[in-house]
Amino acid sequence: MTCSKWRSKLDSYVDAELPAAEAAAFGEHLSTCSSCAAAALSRMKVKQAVQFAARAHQPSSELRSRIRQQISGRKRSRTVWMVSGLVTSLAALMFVFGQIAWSRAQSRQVVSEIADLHVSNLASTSLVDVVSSDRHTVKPWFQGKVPFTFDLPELEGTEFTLVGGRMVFIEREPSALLLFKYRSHYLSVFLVPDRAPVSRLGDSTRQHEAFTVQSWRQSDLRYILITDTNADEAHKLSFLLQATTQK
Amino acid sequence: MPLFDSLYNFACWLTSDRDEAEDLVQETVAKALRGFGSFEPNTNFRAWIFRILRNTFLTSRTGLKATSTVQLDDDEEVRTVAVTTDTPETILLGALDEKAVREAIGELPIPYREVILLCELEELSYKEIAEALAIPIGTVMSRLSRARNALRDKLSTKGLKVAVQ
Repeated sequence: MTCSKWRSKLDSYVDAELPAAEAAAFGEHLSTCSSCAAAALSRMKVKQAVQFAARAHQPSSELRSRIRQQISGRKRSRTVWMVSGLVTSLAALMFVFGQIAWSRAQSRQVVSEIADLHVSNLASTSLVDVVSSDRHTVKPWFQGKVPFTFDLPELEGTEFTLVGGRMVFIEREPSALLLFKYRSHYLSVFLVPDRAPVSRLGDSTRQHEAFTVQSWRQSDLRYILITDTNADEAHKLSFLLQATTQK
Repeated sequence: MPLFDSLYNFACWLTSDRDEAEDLVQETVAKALRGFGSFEPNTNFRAWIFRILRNTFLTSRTGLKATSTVQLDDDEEVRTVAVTTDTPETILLGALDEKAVREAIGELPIPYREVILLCELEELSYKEIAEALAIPIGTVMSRLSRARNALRDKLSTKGLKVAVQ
């Protein structure tokens, strides 16, 4: 391939959007062509400069608290029908597409593991190892038990309460399980270092059996929320967790 | 990075006004909470919420004003590349001044600004950007390329050493 052909793929290369084989071939070409290498380098540099410079605006603490109120003060309006419709259509969708890709299969395996942990934990006699609704008790309890730290949201004024926490293993990684309660429903939130295969879950919301499973990345951790209550409450709690200030 | 900081930062870049950005984020959250029913499971949550924010912005007064004046030529052939005379060393040595980069981003027309921010800062994939902006992936690629050319031009006129291609 000529240099000009490669140049047209330069953006895709620096954005890691080329298929693996093509990216490898591009890398090979870069090691022999100084002009393309210089072009790639200058693109990387601008990319990094933008990444660095563009994180320019921080929300005020007033805005954060307004948002928290906005999330917790919302009245319940979603009907059971919609949720069950969602579950049914999703079940149909999952049936049709079946097992498409390996990574999907793998992330499903993680979801199953999460669901098993959630269910078996709720079935055990002691739900949590540290029993406290005080986030300043629960957070320090994890010190020395998991290789990371995290922040818990202020739940006062919301319908959620913190039940407590326990240390669990997910894909052989020491992880934190936080148990929340909404009315008589439990919501488990798992915090795992964001590495494969757990990271393959991506930022997603899915239904697994009758559970809503939501996953997102926050401060180098993968948050996985699972619950049998409706997707709305799952989203609310995930909003609250994501609104937790520390970067 | 928590979602709200990202949303607020993005809103500031779109509106260039703190108060307006705050309103925009609050309205986005309200719409997101109302609209969970329309959220398709297994699609990208971030792309979805950025899309809400952006649509809300586009229908605001500032948004209408800002975007009505921009002409985009997404379908045209992207400018062909020039050959650089810089060596990798000179490129590495010229550090980019943060303030100048910020100014340059702010001077970009909004469609360029948003595609660059979603790609570089939010690190969304082309597919996710396509979802957020409601445009085809091919358009994402050509617009991104054009936006980067425009950014490089602005950086060079500010006297920053960026090898043009």
